[in-house]
Amino acid sequence: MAIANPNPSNPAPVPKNPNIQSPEYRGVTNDLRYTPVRSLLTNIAGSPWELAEYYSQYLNADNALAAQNVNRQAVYQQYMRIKRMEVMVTSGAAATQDVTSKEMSVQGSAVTYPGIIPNDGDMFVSAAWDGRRLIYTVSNVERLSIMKDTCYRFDFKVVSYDDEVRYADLQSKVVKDTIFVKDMLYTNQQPLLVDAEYAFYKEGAQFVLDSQERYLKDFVNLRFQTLLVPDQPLSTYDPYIAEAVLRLIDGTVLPQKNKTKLLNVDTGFPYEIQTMWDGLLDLNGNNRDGWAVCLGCLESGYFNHGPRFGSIRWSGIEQVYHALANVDFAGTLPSEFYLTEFGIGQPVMASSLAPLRQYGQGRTLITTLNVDVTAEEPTTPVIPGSPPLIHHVSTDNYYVFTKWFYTQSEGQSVLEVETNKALAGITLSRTHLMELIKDSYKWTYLDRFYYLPVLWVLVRTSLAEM
Amino acid sequence: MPKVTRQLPEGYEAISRPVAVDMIKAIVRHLGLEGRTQIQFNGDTVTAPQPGSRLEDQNNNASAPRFDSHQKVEAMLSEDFMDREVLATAITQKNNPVVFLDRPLAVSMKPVYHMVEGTLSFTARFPDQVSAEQWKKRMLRHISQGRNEMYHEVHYQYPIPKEFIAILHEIHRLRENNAGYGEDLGTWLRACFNPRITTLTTMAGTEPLLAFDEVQQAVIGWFDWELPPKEDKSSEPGATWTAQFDYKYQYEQITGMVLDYPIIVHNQFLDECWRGRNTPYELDRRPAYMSMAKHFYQAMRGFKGGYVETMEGIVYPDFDEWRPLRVPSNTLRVMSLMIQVDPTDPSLVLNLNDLKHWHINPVVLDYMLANRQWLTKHHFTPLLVAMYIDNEPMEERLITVDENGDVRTTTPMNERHQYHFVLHALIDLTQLSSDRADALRRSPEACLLFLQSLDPRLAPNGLLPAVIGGRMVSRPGWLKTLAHIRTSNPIYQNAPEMGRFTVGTYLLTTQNKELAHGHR
Repeated sequence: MAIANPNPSNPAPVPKNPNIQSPEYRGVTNDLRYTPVRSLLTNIAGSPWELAEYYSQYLNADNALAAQNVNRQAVYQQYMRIKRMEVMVTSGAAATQDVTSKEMSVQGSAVTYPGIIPNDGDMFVSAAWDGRRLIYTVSNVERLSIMKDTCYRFDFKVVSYDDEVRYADLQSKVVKDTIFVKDMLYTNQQPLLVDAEYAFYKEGAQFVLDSQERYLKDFVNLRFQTLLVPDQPLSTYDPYIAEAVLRLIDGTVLPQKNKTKLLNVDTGFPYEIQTMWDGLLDLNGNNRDGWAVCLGCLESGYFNHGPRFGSIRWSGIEQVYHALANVDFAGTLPSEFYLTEFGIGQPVMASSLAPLRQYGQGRTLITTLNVDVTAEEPTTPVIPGSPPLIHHVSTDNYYVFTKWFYTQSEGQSVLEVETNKALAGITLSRTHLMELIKDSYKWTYLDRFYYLPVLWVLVRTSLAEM
Repeated sequence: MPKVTRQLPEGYEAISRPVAVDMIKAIVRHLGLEGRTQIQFNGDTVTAPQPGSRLEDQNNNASAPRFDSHQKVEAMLSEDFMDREVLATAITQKNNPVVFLDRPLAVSMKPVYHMVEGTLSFTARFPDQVSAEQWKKRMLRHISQGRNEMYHEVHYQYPIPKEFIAILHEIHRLRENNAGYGEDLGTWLRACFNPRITTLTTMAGTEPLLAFDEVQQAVIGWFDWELPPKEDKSSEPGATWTAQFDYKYQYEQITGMVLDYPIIVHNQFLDECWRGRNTPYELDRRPAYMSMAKHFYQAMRGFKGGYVETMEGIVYPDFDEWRPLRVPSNTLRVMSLMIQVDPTDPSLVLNLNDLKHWHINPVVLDYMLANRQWLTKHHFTPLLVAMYIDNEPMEERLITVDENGDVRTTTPMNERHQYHFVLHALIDLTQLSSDRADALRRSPEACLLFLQSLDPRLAPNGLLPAVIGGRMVSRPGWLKTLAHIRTSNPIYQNAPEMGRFTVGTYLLTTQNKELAHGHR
């Protein structure tokens, strides 16, 4: 057979690595210096000017820049609308009139904040000095630095008042709607939020602030100057949540926090006891097998430090909700270690593992997850089988959450699922958090005492994810 | 049948730019510059977008600033219509392919193409002298190989004028309103449009726009050079080199669209806003001169003694632009009337005694009614009664005329079709069968009127044939007069029809107030 074989069994050629990235220069040197945006913010020249609506051209690779063409079909000219965009005006809009044609001209220049890239031909709408609104066009856009985060300087010029035709045309060409939130820049986040994000941003940030203020009013006992577990027959102190709450609240925002103190609950047990609060504050669930999960009430007399150490024994508080009340509790090391070393192997003065008491029987109805996100108010319950938003605190013997939370198994409430997601570093569901926020006003005192701090963490985490 | 022409809602972004971008990409490939070369093709603002501001940049990590040393091709477009072609471009003629067709309703749409020559002016910037030199030598090889010209395939979508969609919507409404088919608008449009029809929307799915997808093949383009240009050291500091050259191409650009539609759909008139009221412009309706003497002279000069002088006969309604595609030989239209079928009596066309504002000369009418069995048969009557269904003539045996002058169809007329009643005059009376010519001669008054109408100069010149005993026109005189008429000068002639002077002599006009107002 001498016929040529077009498919010889030669070894396949070694494929060249595909060059997916744009072929910019890549050397062996690495510049580690990075100037974060927030350090720029105070150095941007000019005076702030809030533009009602900024229309940023929505372009793809082969599109060209063009100012608004009123008669151009929306298909061929699309905009992203940025509401309430703030720029820094470096040269104020000066109005002049051409002496020959008697036509007015209003021009000026401004600088954008980082995170927004203006283009020649962009349009914006802003108030004139007499309450009417003007439509401007952008030109001569200039990047001000070669750093990754940079500002852009641009010139603007008035095109007309926002007459029916021009303004309606701009509206019809909007394909994406965003809101400029300057605060995002301080946390190095993208400052443009879409409507749903903005709603969560507003509601979430406000919730955390309002809720923290109310929390201190509700739960700080002014006589003991500390947080007491509500609704208990005896005055009860939970050292773990007290510490977590004080870490979560910013004393410069809520100075009431500064009147609150932590009590000394040291015992003969010389090791640190960790609970889910430690994991939640670090957003790290990797050490969850070392957490104390079942707690009980100990008489405060058990804590035997002297008065000069400010032990809780002398504070007047009757009992402490504490991990050592659990006979089976062993820290992260084998129990023999503690026994031999310190000789405190005798049964602790455990009262019992009795869960905390839930009062307010009339308000114990649990809301289930509203799967119909379009509904205004979550109804109770929407679907019998849908997961509950929360389980009551102390539904079982486990601390704050239920056993299902700790074992990450079926039966968790929405709050527990979201908390576990936060501990695992998974993006949280804003819809679920919004439902929890709405529902939180209906919770019992004990639920609010334990769950509100959890919700603050979740909401703040979600805000940082935008 | 209005024929509406409109320009496209968008030209540059829909056609010119996509075509030019196709060209630029092909050329950059041909020049061996693809891959590592940035293409800069600026539009309206003449400036480039900021790096990082385009959608593709967000996936590509391309927001890093660019400097002036990388390899780049900058293109500028200018398009010129070719003046030699403009006057020879078909607009409403049948040359352009139809893209929408409803044959029963006679609705059609077609694009208008103009020949365009595009010139792309390129500035290529090379990062160093070596790459500039290598590029030039590559082009030199291509020229030697005869690869200076290229065929291109260009792809674009052209949108349909929104006015056309509005008209089609109205036509569909009327189509379903009476004797409808039960089809919704989308079904009807899909059935009638060329399958290349598509819908364009914004990225948010809003503002839909109907458009046609089109590919043009074998668009020829060529480098406008003898030899590749010499590369120059760039004026910018650094080692970059630049070269400038032009590339030209010619293609048929769509500049507008034509919509052809009837003014009556399923027996219902389109509202006046959907059709023109294009009554002919007539000088003598208003004082044309700011001088009484000149004005009266003008009025007197055009006076025809009450007879209508027209080249295409009487058309009613006067805004009806329907014209028959085929007419009987040697005839001229005296009158065309649009017929709106009477649902209670669908076979009744009209009565010859009641022709709106016009009356047939009583002498002629008497002759017509007396010979009504011949009235619908070509070559057997000097005045032919005909009916047209849509654009086609109806079979003559389907039309009858009774003794009262009622014109009827033997089968009921269908409301889904358009009907026209047309009165044709036989211009060449030698075409009349000898029996019927003899019969005509025996009605001397009508006979002389017919001859006179074909050439009004007969009587002044004493060329009318003699009447024997007041009862019959003499045969030699008849033949002699006909022979004379054949040699006299027709005033109007087109491919199917030839007009004699004042054919309208058959018809008296009664100008009533309604008509006078209609003409302002």
